[in-house]
Amino acid sequence: MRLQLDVPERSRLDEPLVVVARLENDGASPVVTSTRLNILEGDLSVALRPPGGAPGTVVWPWPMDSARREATLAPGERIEGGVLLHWGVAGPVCSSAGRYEVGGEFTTAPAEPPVASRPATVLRDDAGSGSALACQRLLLDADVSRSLASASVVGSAGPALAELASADAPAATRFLATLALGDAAAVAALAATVEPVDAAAWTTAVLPAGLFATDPRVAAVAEAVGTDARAAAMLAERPI
Amino acid sequence: MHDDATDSDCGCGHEETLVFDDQGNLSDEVLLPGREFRPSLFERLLRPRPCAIGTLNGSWLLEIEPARRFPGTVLSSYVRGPMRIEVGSSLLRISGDIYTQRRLIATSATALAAPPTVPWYPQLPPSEYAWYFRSTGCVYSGGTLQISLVRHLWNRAAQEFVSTDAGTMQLTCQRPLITVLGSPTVMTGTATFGGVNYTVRATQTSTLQRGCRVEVDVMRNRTWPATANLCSGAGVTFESIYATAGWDIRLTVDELNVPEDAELTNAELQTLLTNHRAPAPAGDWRLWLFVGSNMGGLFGLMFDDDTIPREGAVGFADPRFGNQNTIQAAARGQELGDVPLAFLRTLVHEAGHAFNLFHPKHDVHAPAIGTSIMNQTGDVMGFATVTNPYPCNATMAFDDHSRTSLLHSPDPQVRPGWRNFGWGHGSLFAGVPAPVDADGLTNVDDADDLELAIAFPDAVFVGEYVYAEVTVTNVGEAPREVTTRLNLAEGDLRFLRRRPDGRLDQVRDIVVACGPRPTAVLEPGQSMSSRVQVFFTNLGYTFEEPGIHDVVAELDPGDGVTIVRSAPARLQVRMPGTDDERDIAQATLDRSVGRALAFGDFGSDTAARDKLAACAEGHADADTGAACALVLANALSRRHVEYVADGADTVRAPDNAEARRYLDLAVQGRSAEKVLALATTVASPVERDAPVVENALARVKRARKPKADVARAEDLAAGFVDPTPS
Repeated sequence: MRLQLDVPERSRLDEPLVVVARLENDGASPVVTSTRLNILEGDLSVALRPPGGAPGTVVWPWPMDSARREATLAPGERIEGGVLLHWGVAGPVCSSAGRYEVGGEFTTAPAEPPVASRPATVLRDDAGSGSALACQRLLLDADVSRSLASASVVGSAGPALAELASADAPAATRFLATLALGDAAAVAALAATVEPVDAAAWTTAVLPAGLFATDPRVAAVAEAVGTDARAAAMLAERPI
Repeated sequence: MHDDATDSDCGCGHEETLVFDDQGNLSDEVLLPGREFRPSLFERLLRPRPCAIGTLNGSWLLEIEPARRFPGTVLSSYVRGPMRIEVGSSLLRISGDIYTQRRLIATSATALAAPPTVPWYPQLPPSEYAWYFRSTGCVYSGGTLQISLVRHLWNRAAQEFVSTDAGTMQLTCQRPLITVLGSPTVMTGTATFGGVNYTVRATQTSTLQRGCRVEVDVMRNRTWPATANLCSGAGVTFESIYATAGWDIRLTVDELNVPEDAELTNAELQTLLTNHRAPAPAGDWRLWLFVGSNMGGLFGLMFDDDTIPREGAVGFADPRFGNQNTIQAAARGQELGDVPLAFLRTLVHEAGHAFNLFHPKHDVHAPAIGTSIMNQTGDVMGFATVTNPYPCNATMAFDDHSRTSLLHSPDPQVRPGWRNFGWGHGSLFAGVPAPVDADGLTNVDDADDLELAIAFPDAVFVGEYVYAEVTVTNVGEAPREVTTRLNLAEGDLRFLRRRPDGRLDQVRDIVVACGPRPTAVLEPGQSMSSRVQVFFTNLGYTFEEPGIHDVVAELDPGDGVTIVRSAPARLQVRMPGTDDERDIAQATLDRSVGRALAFGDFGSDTAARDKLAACAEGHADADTGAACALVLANALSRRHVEYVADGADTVRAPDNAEARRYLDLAVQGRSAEKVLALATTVASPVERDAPVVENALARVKRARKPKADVARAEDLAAGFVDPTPS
């Protein structure tokens, strides 16, 4: 089994960092694996080394308990899921400028040793000035961050989320804010305007498809991405 | 609830010496006693005897008093807190949390006047927390418990342990075989912390180690699993499972009709916690547990991650089990809420998160993944087999690591509502050991009649001039005398700053001033404010690291008894983004310029003067440029002598024309209030007569600024010279 984290080379601080985790069967035999390829449920853990700092694990702020979900990966098959690196138990994640090293480990089954990815790096840049900087600042707000991560409106974050969902913000920011605001139709409309795989990654990063299978927002994005096989597989939590 | 060894103990006292190592485990070293004199049965019944080791197990109130009080001492500290002793078959482990409160000696009490009914658990206000200790080795012999311990000292402003040291404690436990019913076991003895001797008294409060109230609210048409049967047939409850980990849970099922909501969100759960949790006695540990419907397919969630975290958790009754043959037949296809054993397990698990327990596979201490309570259900299911299906294969007890954490981790880590989830699961404790007495690092209490606020700009770039506004307000009902030294130079005010990488610093002025403490009386509702330069401090450039900096201010009002602390202020620091910003940073990030901005003068450093001038002239529209201009205006308004040993002193003569030119630059396009805010921060707080303040005020008055603006500027200038309440 091989784990890979697709991390952008550069990313601006006015959008939360979302990476795509990919687990591939590179062996010759089918393998039964957990399909919980997200950091919410705990089978996937992501370690970050911030610029000039010591590495630490990004721990989802709301510990969850869920049933096991499995699939059989035939040789060459893979599963993919989005991973939000924006808010963890210790507060903001990747929220200041600099180069971050990102690595992951995935537990395919409780009795199996975890599969580790090769480390990747991302350079986080300040957002420049003006409205982008304002957006960057809004993303530092604890209630806004909690809202984006939990796909719900936490505390007094409503107006800020509405602002972030506006047309001025980067696509990932708008998408996650729209998800948090909960309007499935708006989510679908936005999903239709972006790359299907991006929409699937952003959605599954906060609403893992196997866990939130009946959430209307997941269904809306699945419908919007249409026939894109990769996005559809992510949104159905099935191998491709 | 005792371990086997405790229950089987004969109660007739230990006659051999038991030695326990730093992990609390019995070492091979056992010292056997010589032959003893045997008195009559009657004498034996009444004679105080060494307590059996098993009787030590449980919760104790530990009270610490100085062995010797110095003459003339008016105030003393009431130093006390819970001590937890865990006695196992070959284990003796001790930990405790100490809280301090200042009192007049006349009112100091060493023991509780009316102790609560046993069992009880000393649960004290976080604002009084001082230190945590745990044993690094114990010897129990002849009723005497000798403890070597390590202390972790708490910084109340930073809400972190910041240093460690070592200490010792010796307690003697003796009881006759016949005692007055209900009288608690008491141990007395001595302790040494930081090289100072103390007398100590420990009063047993329970045979369990910790206690917590749990309020359960239930959504309509769902059921709280009050009891569940193991597959062996034995019954378990929420309380009985926690009792195996030394916890006394006082559980109340309160509401049974919380309105139906088929799908919940984090935000809704937070609202439910706020609206449905019943009031509880102040200070008690408490947790709100909710039996809810559904959230995706989750079984449970500890959702409370707000500013008072870990007070609420939820188990979801509606998710259904699959039909795999590794699921117990009776549970296949059933809703979780209809499988009491599985649901109870989930609820105990989520409450464990509220007590800051991690899933074993996420814990930095790396306990093995298994089937105990804190393992995720998905993993426990992964270990299920056809012959030992889920939930029969679940172990309804905590793994050893989680149990130890529940018993012995520090109160800030475990108590719901204190430190956030995850705290304590990394390298928290560091620092150089230094002698500290029993008060810990802080021997004053929080002032509840004062409020301190600190304000920063939301964001700055590295190299941008920064000052903070500090305001102290009397929120009490009586007049309050308060220091007027609201600056970082004279020691009454200090800032604690957490860097983006988590390190903590104490921020002070580069000037340290000593002198009498002037005070002012704040009437109820009155405030006093100041502005303090934090661009260049004892740390050098305070904010040279991009990222989020959190700053807490702490003010000693001057009464010797209390301290007032602000809520954290957050400052985002980024790299310079534009050409102008880079140009400013290039000038100000020269240390001689930094020092000039802190002193309000460049002295004889002509290179610093040139850089200040370049910044002032090139960027007068930016506040950093104006601050540079004001430093020049201040310095050039006065004579400066550089004294050297051989008498060849260099003298910088005033240049009033240049000073006026720089003042003009600072005033241009800027409100009078802003000009004075900058002028009063570039002037060193110990130079109340710094010319820049007076000159700037005179200049803005001539500049035809709005009257109200000038009035505010006048207030700032007056407050710099002589802070007064308003």
